[in-house]
Amino acid sequence: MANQLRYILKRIVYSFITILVLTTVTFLLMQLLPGDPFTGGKNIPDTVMEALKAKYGLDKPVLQQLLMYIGNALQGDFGISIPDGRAVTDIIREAFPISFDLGVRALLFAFIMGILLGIVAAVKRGTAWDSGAMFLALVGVSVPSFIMGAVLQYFLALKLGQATGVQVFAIVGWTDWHSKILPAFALAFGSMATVSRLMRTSMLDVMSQDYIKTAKAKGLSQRQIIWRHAVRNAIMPVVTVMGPLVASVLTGAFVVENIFAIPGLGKYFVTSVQTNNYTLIAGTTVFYGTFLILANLVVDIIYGLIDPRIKLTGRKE
Amino acid sequence: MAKKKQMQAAEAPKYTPYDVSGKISRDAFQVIGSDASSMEAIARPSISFMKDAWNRIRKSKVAIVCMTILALIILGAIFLPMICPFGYEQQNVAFQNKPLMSPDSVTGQMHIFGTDNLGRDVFARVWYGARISLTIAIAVALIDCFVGVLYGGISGYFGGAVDTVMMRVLEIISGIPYLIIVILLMTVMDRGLGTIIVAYSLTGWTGMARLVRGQVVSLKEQEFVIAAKSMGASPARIISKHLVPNVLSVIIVNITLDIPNVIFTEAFLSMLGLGIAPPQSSWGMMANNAIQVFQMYPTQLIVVALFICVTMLSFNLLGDQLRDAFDPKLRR
Amino acid sequence: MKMKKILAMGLASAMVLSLGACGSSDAGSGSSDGTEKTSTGFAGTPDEDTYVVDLRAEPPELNSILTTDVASGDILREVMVGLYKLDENDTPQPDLAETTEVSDDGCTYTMTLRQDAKWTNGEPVTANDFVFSYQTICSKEAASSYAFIVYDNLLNGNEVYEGTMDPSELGVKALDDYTLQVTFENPIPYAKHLFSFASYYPMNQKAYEEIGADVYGDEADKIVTNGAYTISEWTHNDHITLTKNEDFYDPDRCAVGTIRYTMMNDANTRMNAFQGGQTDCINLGADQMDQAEQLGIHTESYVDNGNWYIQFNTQKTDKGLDNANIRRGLGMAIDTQSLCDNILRNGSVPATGLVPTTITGANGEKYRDAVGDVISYNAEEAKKAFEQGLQETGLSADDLHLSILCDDQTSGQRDAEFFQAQWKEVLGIDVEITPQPFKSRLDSMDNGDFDMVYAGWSPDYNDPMTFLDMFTTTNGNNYGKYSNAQYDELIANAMKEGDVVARQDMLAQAEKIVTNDDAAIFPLYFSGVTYAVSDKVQNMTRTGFQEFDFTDAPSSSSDSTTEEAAE
Repeated sequence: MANQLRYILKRIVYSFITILVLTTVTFLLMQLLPGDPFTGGKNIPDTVMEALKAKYGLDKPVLQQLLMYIGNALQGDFGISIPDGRAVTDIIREAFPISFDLGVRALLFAFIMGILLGIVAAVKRGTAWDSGAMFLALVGVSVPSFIMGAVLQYFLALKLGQATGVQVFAIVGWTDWHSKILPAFALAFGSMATVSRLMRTSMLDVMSQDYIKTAKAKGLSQRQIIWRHAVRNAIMPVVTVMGPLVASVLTGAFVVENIFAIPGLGKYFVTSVQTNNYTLIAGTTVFYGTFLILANLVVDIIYGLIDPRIKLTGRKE
Repeated sequence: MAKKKQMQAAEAPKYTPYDVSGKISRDAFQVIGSDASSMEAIARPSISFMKDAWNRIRKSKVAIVCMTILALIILGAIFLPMICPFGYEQQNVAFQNKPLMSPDSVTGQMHIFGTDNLGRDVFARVWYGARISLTIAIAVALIDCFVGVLYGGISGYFGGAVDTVMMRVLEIISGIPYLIIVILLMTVMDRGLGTIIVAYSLTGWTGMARLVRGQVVSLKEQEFVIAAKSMGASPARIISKHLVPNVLSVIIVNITLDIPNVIFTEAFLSMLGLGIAPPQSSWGMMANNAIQVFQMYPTQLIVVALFICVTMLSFNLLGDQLRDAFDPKLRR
Repeated sequence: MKMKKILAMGLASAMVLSLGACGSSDAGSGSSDGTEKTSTGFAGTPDEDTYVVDLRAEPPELNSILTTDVASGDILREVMVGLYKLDENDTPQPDLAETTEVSDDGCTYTMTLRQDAKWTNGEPVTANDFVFSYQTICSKEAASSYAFIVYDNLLNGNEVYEGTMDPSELGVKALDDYTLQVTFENPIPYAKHLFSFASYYPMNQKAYEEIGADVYGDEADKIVTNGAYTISEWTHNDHITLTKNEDFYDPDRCAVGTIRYTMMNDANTRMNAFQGGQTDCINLGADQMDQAEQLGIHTESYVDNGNWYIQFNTQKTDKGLDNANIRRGLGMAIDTQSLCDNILRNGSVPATGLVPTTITGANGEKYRDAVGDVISYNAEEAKKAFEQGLQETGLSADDLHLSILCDDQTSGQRDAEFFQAQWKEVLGIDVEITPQPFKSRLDSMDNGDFDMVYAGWSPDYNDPMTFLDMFTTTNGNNYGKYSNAQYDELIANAMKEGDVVARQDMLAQAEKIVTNDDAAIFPLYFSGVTYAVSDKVQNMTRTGFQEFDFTDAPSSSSDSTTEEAAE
């Protein structure tokens, strides 16, 4: 137990250092950018420029600005988004729950569908079911989410709606279930593929173990063997990809939110990249980074706690 | 050879194995001297590690198909832009968005995949794009591999304080989310092939480094390494001659699976407007442009999407097959 | 990001602020009268009393003191009323100002205000609201990027901004609650346009101080308005909803009960939403014109005020860019008609000079019409001029190694690729493209780190001068370091000239020198906007100076200005 605690503590400290490094790197990269946040088409009169810089604290030395930025970031303050004068933290607080909602739906979808597909493929190994499921999975890993999103929107939302006269899937927005299915699916597709492939190999591995044979010999039904013994044990390795999957869903949301006009943080991030809104880019980068680092930390700790085979002495690959 | 000599030795004189008293007679033995070559002899024909893997790969139809496809795409990327009658940047603005198999309005030459929104030949662009996308992908994968092997190898081999420090640094670097930092770098740096390769490989090597380190740590305790060490081999020699060949399977599999990831990243970033500089084309750039007109001219998207998907699929499948071939234990 | 007077290519929210203009744009004004339209099958959104229109991006700043961009201006135009308001022809009509008296030196405007105008917090709109607004803008604490549009014009503005004079010395006075006196430093021919412009809107002091300057205009409930519509809902980066203000003194002005502005960033998404009846009006990109045509979507176009051109770095003598013939050859080689028809396809028209067709000249006539064309595409001439230039400089075409700087957005690169192909075809030279993000591009221009740059310009006010004073030797926007004493003199004289016709002649001469004779810059096209609109939408005005307007002109549309000098 002491060992476990030490490991967890160590992971927390490293995560914290990583966050600090990320914040510093982000801030310094922003300093490298040409011009300043107010550079515009016409030379703003010098007096106006000075007034603007003083207001946002940009007249101070870089080191002081860095320390201020880190200090403020630690308190959850990422400064002001210059074009609209709103606090970056407010924007994140408002937009992230929507992205989180979308992400959680997509992840749930990916896991449930992926695990089911994986089980089917493993149990019916070598049959058309197996080939079908694995083909779907391969399409999933090979089709980028932005192509998937655009195609789904066009055919299932627009064309299906026009053809039947019933709008089952909304074209844009994030309000009710009509509008939430397609974006979540587009986002989940790639991850679902990863999960199903992993689940399949893991299931096949478990199914060849001695305790399954024992269970069979004891006369348990196929269904009982699969659900009671095989699936429970096979799910374990799938949990390890949780961290990378959260990352891929999060970044995938950048384009999916844009395609479906969902007012989440991903849409803000894309707009801020396209319009060079540097404070917002920096703020969201640090926020996303921190979120992912913490997500990985949590996954690691959970995995260490639930899998007795891991001694928690080192990070598992 | 070896067998023959043994036979000769056995055939030598006639002897009686036992005498009546139950003692073994001295006469039963004969000094034949030592034969160095027979001591070093290997009974089974020597099959190198790579050869063994190759034999297994050869038996996999999927792997052969994938390798053929990839070879064709790579050869096409190298040679087709040279022989194509249209340049990838050559415009015919009066001849925009034409379907497959349209003869050009000026030269009469065939646009096999049609033209794009500036009247450029999609066939020429998709193959030129293959060149760019694959160059990026392979370069990044190789850089990741090189840095990763070096870092992981050194860390794993030396162990102790060096290992601790290097692993802590790696822990921090790999904690930084990949795509986020790449987007950040791409917004800050100037456009260009070099920039893209640098940005992509800046944090991508950590996975490889960790894998290699793990392998090296377990390998270096094994007898053949200890033997080499006791014979005075330098660390560089031990790493390059003894350790690296043994982690080669991990490296090759990882490179194969790294490439489709980079292709995907490039496509994704082009979608955000952070791709290669025009008039050059890359698959991501083409997909981004094609998706704007896909409701009207779907073939433009289908062509480039097929290229992206088939390539990613081939690399992914090949990676899986290679993993199985190299390590039977991993074949679950 | 603010104050993008130089245009950024293809950004979702091109930040361009424009003051009012007289006369409608001649490429078809964008007012959608239902009578002209035949039914197209795109009935639009289901609710008859709601228009859904796409703004593309979030309006960043609904605080009239700080705002600088088009999208915010679109919203403020509906929810605020000022002294004057532009009608569908971009002519300013009195709105809050019931009567206007202009002093004989043309500097002082004395206006009596309507007494039935109210803020949404119940307070009456008084002359003090204007005084408070103008004094706030002219203070460094407010840090308004557009402060100079007020302090450069008002009497003592610069001194008040610098803090050397008390704010009460500023040229704005409330003679009583409903009498406002505005004094300018010089007579300004376009003063009424200024009064219709967001920076000159009033501001309710009580509301501004209660809500707080930092957050004013950030949320639907953090702004107090006085206009025909009120902001009823605002979900950031998604939509903003305006509803008819029943307390407004002229409620009939509203075209519709509810306006919902959406913010869709992706062109395909907009198209799908329009086809699916989820929005009534979207801007179309070049790639969507074929589809719009095929589907029978009703489209309209108008010329906005932007002018896109190639600016040459005249300091690059080793590349021959100090030679006017080489520059003119490069400029004339670009087939601008083909550019507009085949590449841009958004209602842009080939440039015939530096000043766009929308800008008003002397006596209310449009400047472009009065002056005529000064440049055009001509491949033969281009070739001749280019070769002559090469002879004059002794350079060979292969030694030039020219490059063109452009925005890194898709459309900027696309256009540059077109130029590249044209130069190759007409002049036989290879030109390299250097795409850069908007700010990097400005930085490179500022440092003279370019050969040619593909740039755009949008006017600050409705007068040819806003385009023509940019290229004088000392002007900060003269990135190509062009210098011509005759041109400088013409501009300097025009600034002092009182006679409008003589002034226009000088400006026309200057325009010809800078674009044709010297070709320091070569205008390519006057940018346009093409949009799709559903059958439902009536009474929507879209012009170069009003991207969207859903209110009719003030019902008392006769200008009651009295000129003291005339009596």
